[in-house]
Amino acid sequence: MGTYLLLEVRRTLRSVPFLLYTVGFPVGFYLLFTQVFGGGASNWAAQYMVSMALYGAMGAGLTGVGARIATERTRGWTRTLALTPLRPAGYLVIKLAASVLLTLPVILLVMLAGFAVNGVRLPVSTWLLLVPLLWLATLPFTALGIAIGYSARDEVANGVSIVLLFALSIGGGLWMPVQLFPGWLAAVAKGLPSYRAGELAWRVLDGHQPFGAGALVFAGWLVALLALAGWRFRRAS
Amino acid sequence: MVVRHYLGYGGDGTLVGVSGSGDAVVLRGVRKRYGDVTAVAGVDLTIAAGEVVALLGPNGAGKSTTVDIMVGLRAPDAGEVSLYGMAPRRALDEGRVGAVLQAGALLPNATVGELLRAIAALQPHPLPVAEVAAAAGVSELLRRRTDRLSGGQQQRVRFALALVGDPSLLVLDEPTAGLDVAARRDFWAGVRRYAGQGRTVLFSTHYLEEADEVADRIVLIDRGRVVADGPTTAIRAMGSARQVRCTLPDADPDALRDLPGVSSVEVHGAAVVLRSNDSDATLRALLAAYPLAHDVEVNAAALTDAFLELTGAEAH
Repeated sequence: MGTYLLLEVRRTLRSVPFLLYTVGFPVGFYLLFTQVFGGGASNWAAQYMVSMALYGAMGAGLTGVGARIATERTRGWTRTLALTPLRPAGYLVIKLAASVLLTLPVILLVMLAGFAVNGVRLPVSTWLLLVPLLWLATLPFTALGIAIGYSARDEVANGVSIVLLFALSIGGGLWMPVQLFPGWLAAVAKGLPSYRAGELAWRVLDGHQPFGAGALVFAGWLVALLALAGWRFRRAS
Repeated sequence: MVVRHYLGYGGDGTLVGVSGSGDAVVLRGVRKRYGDVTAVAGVDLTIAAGEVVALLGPNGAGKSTTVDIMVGLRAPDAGEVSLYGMAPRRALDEGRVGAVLQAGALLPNATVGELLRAIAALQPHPLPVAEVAAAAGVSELLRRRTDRLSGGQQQRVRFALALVGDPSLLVLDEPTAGLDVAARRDFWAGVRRYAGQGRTVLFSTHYLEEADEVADRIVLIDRGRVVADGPTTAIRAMGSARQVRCTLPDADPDALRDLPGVSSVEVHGAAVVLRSNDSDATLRALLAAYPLAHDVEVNAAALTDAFLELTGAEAH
């Protein structure tokens, strides 16, 4: 399975759309919004850094891995795999592991941009904590992508996952802080998994431990979306 | 009307003889319906190790469903399947079965070599990738990206993927559909090399020529049933059989039997019916030897009707 996982990672990193949308966009938007529309609060560069890292990692999980399952299913590659000793559960494990590995370059590149270009300085322990925290924060969206991948045909799955990626990342305050939202929209945002995922990292920047009361909402989403993914997976195989 | 004609195995749903675990494939009473459509209507089939068998039939005959059930990708509604005496899933897990099925796009953004190595790594006793690549005729494609292959190249790569687990049974579902003549020839050259090592091959096709050239046994399938099953030579003979009818007073059956191509003679008074495998030669000799023969008719034998109906226009 290791060889297959390695192939999965390598071929995804070769995909131009993946590099452009999932790696290029978050880094580009991060620099655009901090350099061009800079100023504001002093911790804006750091806050927006984790927001864009999360947005990029969500993209890797939701559209980069999860929804690609739909393509492989629709075009029959999974039939070829079914003729090997690899079981559907093993395939899913490979996809999950690939998504964990593929979110890493996005997270690291956005952080590097924050450190090198925007002069973000954080304690080493904070940098080290942010990486696994952002991994954890991405998990519900990877689960959602997998659910879509096992539910829809390829074009539909791609479209739906892109729409959800933007709706959730914008709605959850990753593109602009929820503090700037009108009251009713802020109330909606606080119910979304994307806001609660971002909150885990934002709290760390503010010097708190990551898991506050909002972490319960995050945990609820995580369990629900994992269950959804598991159900769709079992239905499909 | 389709004439049920059994030349070898099977017959009315019962197996002739006892099949042991030495058989590569055993299907018993396999049935599958999709809604109102019966795709497979009770197929019995036993393939001994080392046989090269063609599953021949028109589109929609149930070939693909039969093949999918055989390799465990679909569960039959009724009946049993065993490969080397075990369930298909277990045979696949042990790397004993390789297959090229329909609708199996290759993984994009990977090279052929990477794909072969990744699949080899999943198999319990893989062959060296270089060896498989040579056998399938893809050695020069190992560094090529899978999305930059022609149809024929893709199909040879899929063949290589099926071989990489070192299977003793190879199952191919219409492997040359959509390929041009040269690609077809290259593909079958690879299959012949594989079969030449004494391994078992089952392939479905709707081309009579392919079945004739590659297989040593042909199973004709139509509307989800096996309608004929026998050595390729016997099936080929079915395809050429004709009836020559004429009116000939005082005919001598023994003399008529000596005419070229004649396999059987019926004489009823002045009415003569000859069965022939070469009706042209029979006719010329008949008219030369018996100038009194008249009202001559040449008809396709009933079996040929069935055969033509089965194999359809594509085969001729």
